[in-house]
Amino acid sequence: MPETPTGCLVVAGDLSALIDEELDAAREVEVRAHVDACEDCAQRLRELCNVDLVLAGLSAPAVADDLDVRLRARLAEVGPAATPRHRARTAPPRMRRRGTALGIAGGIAVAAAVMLAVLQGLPRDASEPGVPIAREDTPAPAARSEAPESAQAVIAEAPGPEPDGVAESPDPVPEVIARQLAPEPALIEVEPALEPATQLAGLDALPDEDVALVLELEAVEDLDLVEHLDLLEVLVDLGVADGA
Amino acid sequence: MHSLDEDVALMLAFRSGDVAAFDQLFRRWSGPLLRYIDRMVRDLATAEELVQEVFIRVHRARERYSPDARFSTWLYRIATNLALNELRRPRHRSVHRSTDEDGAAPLPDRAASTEDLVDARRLGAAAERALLELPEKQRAALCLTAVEGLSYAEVAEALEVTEKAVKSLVHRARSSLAARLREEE
Ligand SMILES: [Zn+2]
Repeated sequence: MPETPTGCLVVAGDLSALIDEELDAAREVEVRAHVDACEDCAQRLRELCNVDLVLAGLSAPAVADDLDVRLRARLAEVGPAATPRHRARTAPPRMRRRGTALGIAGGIAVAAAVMLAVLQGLPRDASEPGVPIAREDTPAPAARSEAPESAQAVIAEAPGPEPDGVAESPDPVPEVIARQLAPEPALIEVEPALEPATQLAGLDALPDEDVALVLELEAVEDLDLVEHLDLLEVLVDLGVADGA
Repeated sequence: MHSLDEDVALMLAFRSGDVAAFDQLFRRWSGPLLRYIDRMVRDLATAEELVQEVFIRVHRARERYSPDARFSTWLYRIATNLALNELRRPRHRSVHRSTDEDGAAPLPDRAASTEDLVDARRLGAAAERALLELPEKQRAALCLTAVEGLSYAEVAEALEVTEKAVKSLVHRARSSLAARLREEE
């Protein structure tokens, strides 16, 4: 193995982003170089790619022939559109196709968490992975694009009509938005669970941004606690477990 | 693939009163939306209802539509909000459609052996079950990224989270499914 386990851990956190072509060019070169030289990470990558292949093979429901008729009937009930209103929105991103960048097969997961668990002696299933079937890369399922603006800006700006529209739903979404805009006090109480990670990576030394992400994920996923391994995975995603 | 210009052009045409443009948007996007929402709520009738809801909102919002953002991102954001609302309804929490009945993985390769087909179906069923067990936003993030082909930035907008959160959600979702598939291998 050409690099330390820590190197693998950090790379593991970037494998999904590699598949999704979301790494910047320099990082992609680094990750690819590591994967080319490290069979463990190559295996993980194959297993993650395999997930996409399986998902692509799942059956999708056909649109019923009368769905447009039913929609028209409902539109007739609902009535005309709401009052015109215009808001500033962000620039349209350019189109891009999801590439076939990875000529790799296979796949493991858990990767980072398992390795961290092993390092820390935490209980976690770290059984030997089976060898997945080697297959061609997933073809591009849809167009992709890049949007430069941050999600926070989008939330603050509440672009377009959808917040209004969705707010008319019986179970209004604003709850969700509100929870993200104003984290609940409970999020603060999660701190004790962060201690194991602190020992590993020094949470106190993390940039506020990273701590904020941990808290955001905790909120997003409706977790009561950020469990040790979840947090470790987050830290690996962030690359902050490096040098632990 | 839907071209950005085409969708925006259609929406602008609809804003200007061209009802046929709305019909065309429905034809273009009802399939992908139904696939996505069905993956989220796992109930076809509900998914069909929600697809209609999405287009009712598009219809209602036409006057204030502004072509600065990707049309599809806007659609998926509405769809995601509706799906998450649906999942929070009490009746939905216990409803799990059997993953066997709707046949998980069809055979991409006609020449595939029976064993391959059985294997693909088994893996597909396992993936369906694993998807259902994911936290909602992990599921949404993975479906939007790996199936619908949205970028992390678009998923971030649709889920109203940061791009970093999307990266983490997608990675953990994919890792969970990979672990499940490994058990099935
Ligand atoms: Zn490695």
